[in-house]
Amino acid sequence: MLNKKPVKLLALPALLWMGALFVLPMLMIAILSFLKRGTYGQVVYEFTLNNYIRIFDPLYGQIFWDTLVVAVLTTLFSILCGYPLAYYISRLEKSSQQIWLLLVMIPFWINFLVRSYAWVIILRSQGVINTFLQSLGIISEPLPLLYNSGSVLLGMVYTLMPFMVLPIYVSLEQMDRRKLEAAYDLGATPWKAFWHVTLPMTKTGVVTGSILVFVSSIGMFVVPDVMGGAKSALIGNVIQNQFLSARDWPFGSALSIVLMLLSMLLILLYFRATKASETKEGSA
Amino acid sequence: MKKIIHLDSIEKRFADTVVVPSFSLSIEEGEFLTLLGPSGCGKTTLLRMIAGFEQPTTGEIFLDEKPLSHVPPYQRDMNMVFQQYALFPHMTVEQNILFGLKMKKVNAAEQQKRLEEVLQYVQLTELRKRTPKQLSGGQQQRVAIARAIINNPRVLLLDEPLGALDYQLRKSLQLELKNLQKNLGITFIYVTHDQEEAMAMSDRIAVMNKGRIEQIASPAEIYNSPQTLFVATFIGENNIFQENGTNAAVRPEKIKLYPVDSDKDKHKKLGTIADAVFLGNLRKVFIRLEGQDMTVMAHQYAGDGLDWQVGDQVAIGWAQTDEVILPC
Amino acid sequence: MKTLRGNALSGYSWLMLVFLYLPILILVLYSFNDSRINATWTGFTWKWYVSLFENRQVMQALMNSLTIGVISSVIATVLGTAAALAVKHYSLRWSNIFNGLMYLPIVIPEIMMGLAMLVLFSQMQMELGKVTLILAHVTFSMPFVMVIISGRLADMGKDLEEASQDLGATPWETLRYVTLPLIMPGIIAGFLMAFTLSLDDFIISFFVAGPNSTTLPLYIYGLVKRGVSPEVNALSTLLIVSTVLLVVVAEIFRRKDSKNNQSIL
Repeated sequence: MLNKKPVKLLALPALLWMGALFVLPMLMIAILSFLKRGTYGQVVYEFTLNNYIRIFDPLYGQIFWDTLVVAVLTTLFSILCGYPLAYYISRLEKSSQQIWLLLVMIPFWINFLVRSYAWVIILRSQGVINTFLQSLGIISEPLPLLYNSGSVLLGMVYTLMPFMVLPIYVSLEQMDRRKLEAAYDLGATPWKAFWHVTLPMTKTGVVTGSILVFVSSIGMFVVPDVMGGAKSALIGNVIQNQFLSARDWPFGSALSIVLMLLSMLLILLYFRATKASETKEGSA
Repeated sequence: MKKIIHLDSIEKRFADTVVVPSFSLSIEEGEFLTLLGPSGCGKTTLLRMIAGFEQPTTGEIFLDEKPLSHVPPYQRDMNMVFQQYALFPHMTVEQNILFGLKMKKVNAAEQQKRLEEVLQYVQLTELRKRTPKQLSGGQQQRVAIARAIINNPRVLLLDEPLGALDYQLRKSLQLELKNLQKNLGITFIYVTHDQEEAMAMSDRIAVMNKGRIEQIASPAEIYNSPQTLFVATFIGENNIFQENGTNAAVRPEKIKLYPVDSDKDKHKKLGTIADAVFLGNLRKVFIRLEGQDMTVMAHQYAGDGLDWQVGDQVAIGWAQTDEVILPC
Repeated sequence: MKTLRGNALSGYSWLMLVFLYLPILILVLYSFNDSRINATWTGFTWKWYVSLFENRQVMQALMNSLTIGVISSVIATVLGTAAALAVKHYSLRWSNIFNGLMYLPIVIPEIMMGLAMLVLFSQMQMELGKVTLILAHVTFSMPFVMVIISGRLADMGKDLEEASQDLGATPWETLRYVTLPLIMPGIIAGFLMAFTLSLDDFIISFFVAGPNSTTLPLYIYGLVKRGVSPEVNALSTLLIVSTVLLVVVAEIFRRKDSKNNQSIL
């Protein structure tokens, strides 16, 4: 047989690399999350569940809750910002579509850190907005625009919104336009046609985009770190802190395992949902 | 004639599905054999097994009596013309054609000599520096053939090579290909779903259905004496009369139409003209049979003096020798 | 009525585009502002850029970023290309398993990858520095290289490789004379993408960098934490310009002679 193609072995280096530098460290984190922290921040090799129990401490429970709230709001605002934009792009001519898509995607490739910093320039008390308003004499004292939950939310929507546009655009593109025409033909107003035909048919795009935005926002630590205040820390910041300042690696590991499971759960639910809707469409 | 390829009890399964059930087949040196059948009948799989891109699940293929199962495609002395030509887009016409000789490390002088010959042969000398993208479909097709025949293969495998071209071009290339095969004396194994093409070019046709070879014979034999119901209906048009547990096939051109009151001995059936379609050199007449749920098609040529109208009562008949009895 | 709605939609979309670009433009604009302390425009100047090039720390960070970027993207491209070539020959089931493993780093929160590697390196008692940065950067950029090259290979189909073998080329000759030349634009795009990701990465580098291996984004972070200054604007502008250029060039290569015009992501 020709099945023993030597070319198949070419994947081996990549496989070993990912095994050693991705799978192995992930397993280490998982193990670490069940170990104890010594007095000086070293790891003590004794089994414990305390790290996971500690997550239910009201302090961390509150932060987990805040993180989820911010993630949900970020997702909602991203839909509000992204859906009309995607809809508009899908209505343009093919060549303009390409340009608009590129324009939406370019900021996505620019560093999160730099993009958050851009907002600091605008929002800080000697920033662009406050300076402008003061020079017009509208306000006398600078407005507290930065370092609060609102600014964190703004930064999150700003950085993650492109994630929403692309999947919605794709589902709008794949939509069967004839169904929309049929709706118009049956006398539906544009608004009704949108609500009863377009929106349900682009559900997959909205769900995909929401998952991308939600999963990215629960793991985010740059935006709250740069644009948030002391009270607007999210779970990402706590994890970072456990590893780099508090030096409680086992607890940090437990937090990040929970974070990862949460993301995985969502992605799993998403695959279930899309599969279910596909089979439904197939039988309809 | 000498056997060049022999397929011995070949069977192909994908997972648990039998794509090509077990069969044997011999191909003679210098012949033009066509594998004909509807899409999905396994003809391309069969060709790819001969080329070496697929392995038969069981059985063995022999080339000049040497078994091929351990010979990879690049060591088999045959070449293939692909359906979409598969020309290398990053090479010129010349580089494409020379590729095989380069891989076989033929010396440069010989390469040049054969290149010039082949370019002349397929009339591509002026286009030699172009890339495939700058060629028309017909020209690309010539490059694909030139690229294969420059290697002087024992066998040339062609997978629907004319499938992507328009009707007129296909017609003229059919003749060219047939002449090419005659002149070079290379064995051709040709895959197509177009029966007209198969009829026009082949020495023998293997009609395939659901992976099975239903009949393998010369075009005339296939047409005149089909051995199965599938062959009878797939090749050309046919009327199938079910009688006493057998099927009798009668070609439309063999059906004669008579006025109902004429010499009754010749009559086989009575019916009514349901439709008549004028096609220039002939008329296709459709007759609804009396007391039977069946429509018979007859060809009527100009000059037989009878001009049937829709609704006319008619008697049909045919000579016993024109009837082919098929197993059910 | 219809045009009114159309206008509202187009207006909203342009507004979104302004929302996406205005902060970046303001950042770039203020990198040319003469005044150091406030947001008032006092005149155009190049001096912040000049001072960057005279700043030894900035130059060191730039050198670090470039060294790490080039080395890690070469490794990621070689490994990713080889893997993509191999996976093409796998059965559907095995290629799904392999792709699942390779693409996992794309969906895992970045922060987690960063700290997982920090744990690994400290367990291995490796000193944090350029080597650990390179190892980490290869790990997160290799999947992207694989996605791009796999797309290119799928685009190519199997006909050309079969034609090559049919004409007498061994699998290695086919790879050399047919496959590699045809996927070269994809390989270049993959390399540029890996380089961009490396140059741009902050989160993972944040965990695995050592005191002497500060990269540009890490250096920018240090400055940002200390407050707004025109130098950060200038440095950020340089990073933005190079990222955008790299991404656009990579996209051009990726689409070159390719039927597949779907955008990256």
